[in-house]
Amino acid sequence: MTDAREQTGGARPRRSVTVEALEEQAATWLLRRNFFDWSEDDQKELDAWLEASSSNRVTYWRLNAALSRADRLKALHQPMRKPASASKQAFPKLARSIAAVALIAVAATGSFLYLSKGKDETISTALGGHKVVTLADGSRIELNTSSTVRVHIDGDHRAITLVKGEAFFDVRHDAEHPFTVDAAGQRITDLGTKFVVRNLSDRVEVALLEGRAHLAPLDDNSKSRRADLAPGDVAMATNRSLSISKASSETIAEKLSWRSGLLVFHNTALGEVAHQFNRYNHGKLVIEGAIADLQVDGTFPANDPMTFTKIAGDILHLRVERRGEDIVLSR
Amino acid sequence: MAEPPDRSIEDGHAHGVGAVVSAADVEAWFVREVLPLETTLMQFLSHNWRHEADIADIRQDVYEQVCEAAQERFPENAKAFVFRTARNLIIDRFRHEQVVSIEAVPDLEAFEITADTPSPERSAVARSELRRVEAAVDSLPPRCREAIVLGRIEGLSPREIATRMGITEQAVSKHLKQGIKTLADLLYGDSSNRRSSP
Repeated sequence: MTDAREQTGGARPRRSVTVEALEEQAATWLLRRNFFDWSEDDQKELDAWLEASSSNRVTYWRLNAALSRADRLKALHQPMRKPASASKQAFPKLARSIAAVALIAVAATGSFLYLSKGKDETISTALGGHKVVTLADGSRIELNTSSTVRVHIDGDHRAITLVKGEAFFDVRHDAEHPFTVDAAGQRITDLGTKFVVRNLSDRVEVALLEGRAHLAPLDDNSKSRRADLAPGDVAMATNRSLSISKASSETIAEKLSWRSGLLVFHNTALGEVAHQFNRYNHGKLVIEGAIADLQVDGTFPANDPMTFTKIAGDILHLRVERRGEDIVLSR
Repeated sequence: MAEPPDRSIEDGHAHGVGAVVSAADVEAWFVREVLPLETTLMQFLSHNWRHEADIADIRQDVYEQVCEAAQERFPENAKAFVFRTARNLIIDRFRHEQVVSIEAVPDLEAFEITADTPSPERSAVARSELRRVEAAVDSLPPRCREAIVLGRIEGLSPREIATRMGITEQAVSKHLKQGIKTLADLLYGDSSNRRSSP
C-alpha cells in the first residue's frame, strides 16, 4: 500500500536544525558576502555550506532574494523639486535617506552661465547634458539634453529662441521688458511665470507651472488660435492647431524631473520609456519583439539605462543583452 | 531498445541519476515560481495546522522537498506542486499524531490551487514592485531599517554605518542580519509579521 510518505518522498524527521538557526546561519553568510571583504576562499566555504544540504540552500536563496529586491531601491529617488501641493510622498522616511543621492546628480550635471545685457549668445547642451543659464535680471533658463537656445537681450526685449530640445524657464516678470520664447513657429510671452517648453520641430509643447503666459503663432496670418495659459495647462501647438489639456501639479513636476537628472514613469509603455532614455544617452535602449506595451512605473537616473534594464529585466522577465554600446531588451 | 538519455529527460522521465538541473537554475526557479506563493502557503498552513509553532518548520519542509524534486525535473505547475507537497506533509503530520479526521484533510480547492489560475499581469507586478519593496523596507524595525538603508542603498561599510548610528560594528551586524531576515518575511511571508524586533 502506498501512503503519503512514499508519495512525498518520506516524512521528514523532526528538524535537526531549527528554521531559526538555519536563518541565522544564512543571514550571517549574506552579511559577510554583502557587507564585508569577500575572498575566493570565503566563496568556496559558502559553496560547500550550500552544497551540504537543501535546508541550507533554500534558506539562503530565500533571504538572498529578499535582499536583492531591496537593491532595487537604489534606483529610486523622489523628484527633488516637487511643488508643496504635490508632496504626497508615499515613503517619506526612505525618500529622506536617498535625497542626498539626487542632490549629487544635480550638482554633477548642472553648470552655470552668466549672461549680461546687450549680449547675443547661443547655448547648447550635448546628448545627456544639462545646463543652467542665469540672466542678468535673475531669470533662469535650464536646458535639457540635446537642446539649443539663442538669447538676445536688448534695451526693451528679452528674446529667447528655443532652436531645439527642451528648456525650463523661470522668469522675473518685468512688463517694461517683455520676455518671449520662440519655438517651432510659436511665441510664448511671459506674464510672470515658470514654464517648460519642448520644441518637437513640427510642434511645440508648453506646460505652465506658475503665473500666466500667452501663447500665439509667430506668423500673424496663421490660422492657429492663441491662448492665455494658466497653471496646470499643457498646450500642444502647431501652425494649424492648438490643444490645451489640464495636468495635475504632480504630472507637471514629473515632466520636469529631468532637472534633477531623473526620469519618472507612471504606467508608461516600455517603448516610450526606451524613447525617453534614448534622449539622454549614446548607448540606446532597443526593444525587440512584442514587449513595447509592457508598463513601467518608477523613477530612474536618466543617464543610467543599465540600472533601469537590470530592474526592468528582473521584474518584467526580459532578456537583457549588450550589443556594442546599445542595450537590447527582449523576451 | 534503449532511448537516448537526453530524450528521456525531455520527456520528463529522468530518473534519479544525480542532479539534472543546475543549482543556479533551481534557485532561479525557486525565487521566480515558489517564493511568490509564500503568503498563500502560510495562510494554507495556518488554516490546516493548528500548532502555530510548527508552521515555519512545515514551510521549510515544503521548500526543501520542492527544490529537491526540481533538481531532477521542474514540475509543470509550480503552484499545484507546492500546495500538493504542503498537503501531503500535513497529512503526514496528522498520521504521526494519529488525529486525522475527514474534516482535517487539507482542502486544496478552498485555496483555488487546483485550478490553473493565471499569475497576475506582469505589468501590474512591475507597477507595484518598487512600492512594495519600499513599503517593506519602511516597515522594518527602525534600527534595522537604518542599517539596511545605509548599507545597501547608500552603500556605506559597516564601520561607516556604526559611526553614523553611534553604535558598535557588532551591533550593526546584528541589525543587518535581523533586517535581512525580517525583510524576507515582509516581502514573502505573512503580513502579520511573526518575527518580533530584537
